[in-house]
Amino acid sequence: MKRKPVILVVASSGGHLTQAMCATSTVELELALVTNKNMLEGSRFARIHTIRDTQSNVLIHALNVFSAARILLQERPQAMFSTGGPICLPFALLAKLTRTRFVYLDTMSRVTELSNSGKLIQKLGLFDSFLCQWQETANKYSGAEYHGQAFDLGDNGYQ
Amino acid sequence: MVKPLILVTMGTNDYPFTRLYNHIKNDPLYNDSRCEWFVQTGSCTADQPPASGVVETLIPRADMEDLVRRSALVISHCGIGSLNLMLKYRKRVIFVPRVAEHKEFSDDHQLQIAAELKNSRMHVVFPNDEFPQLDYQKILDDNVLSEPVDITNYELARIVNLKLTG
Repeated sequence: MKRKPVILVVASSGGHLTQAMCATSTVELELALVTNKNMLEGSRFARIHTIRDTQSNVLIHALNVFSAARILLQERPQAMFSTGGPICLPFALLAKLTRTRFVYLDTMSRVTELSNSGKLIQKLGLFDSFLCQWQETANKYSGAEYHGQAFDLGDNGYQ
Repeated sequence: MVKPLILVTMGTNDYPFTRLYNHIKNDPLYNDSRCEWFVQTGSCTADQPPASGVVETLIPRADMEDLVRRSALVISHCGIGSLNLMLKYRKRVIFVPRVAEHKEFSDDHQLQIAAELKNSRMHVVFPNDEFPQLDYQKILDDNVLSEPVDITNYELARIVNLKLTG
């Protein structure tokens, strides 16, 4: 039986996941999620994988490469999408090695410069598309594109 | 009469936010049973429950959304997930950005995003500002909006979809 095409979304819980859900809201393919803490119930993700989280512990990142490889073997995604945080690094690396399309959206919360994960992905060229949510910041990094923000920060509807 | 709900959220990150908790537990309304409190602390240790209400570390996303919907006032760290929910439900919010100086996060990005907020119902307490004293009558009189508005940027979503599947 032919597998359904899957998009693998990698996003830490909280704001990264919120932005990923907004940004993939029109994707009609099956979505699977990798996150650090699963606080979702009844979401549109077909499957949810959890992975250890760290900001700078190299050992955990190294172990996560194996976890990421296992998840990729299981999901065999057509493409990957991530809004960070650092849990996305092994996926970005494996995407490069396996020539899987990797689309990265740097978090809206970094206004004046990229997030640390974003900087690393940009510097090492571990992306097929790199989107930044602030025009001026996008201009500072080669390969970064600006196409607006995941959700409207304005005060429409407020009185 | 239903008590007005005051929701405090510190998000899902691993840094404690003791400074915010201290502001809250020192507010007279925290010890006033006319208000209902829900305090979501993440990794912050809360040693003093409110006169009326509960303290939890982490709760499911759907429960958080329901609490936001019902709340008359939200006091929140300045994380993007929280900000999204507060904009979606057009809440009256006091945002307190986490700062690296007090080890509330690894950097000061919450100050950057806080500075971008231009919203008449959202008040930001910057590090040198006084935490505002809560006013029971004002909270009671405020019209609680509970219908969400769709704030998703579908233009960005369309581009992301093209890049993933095109």
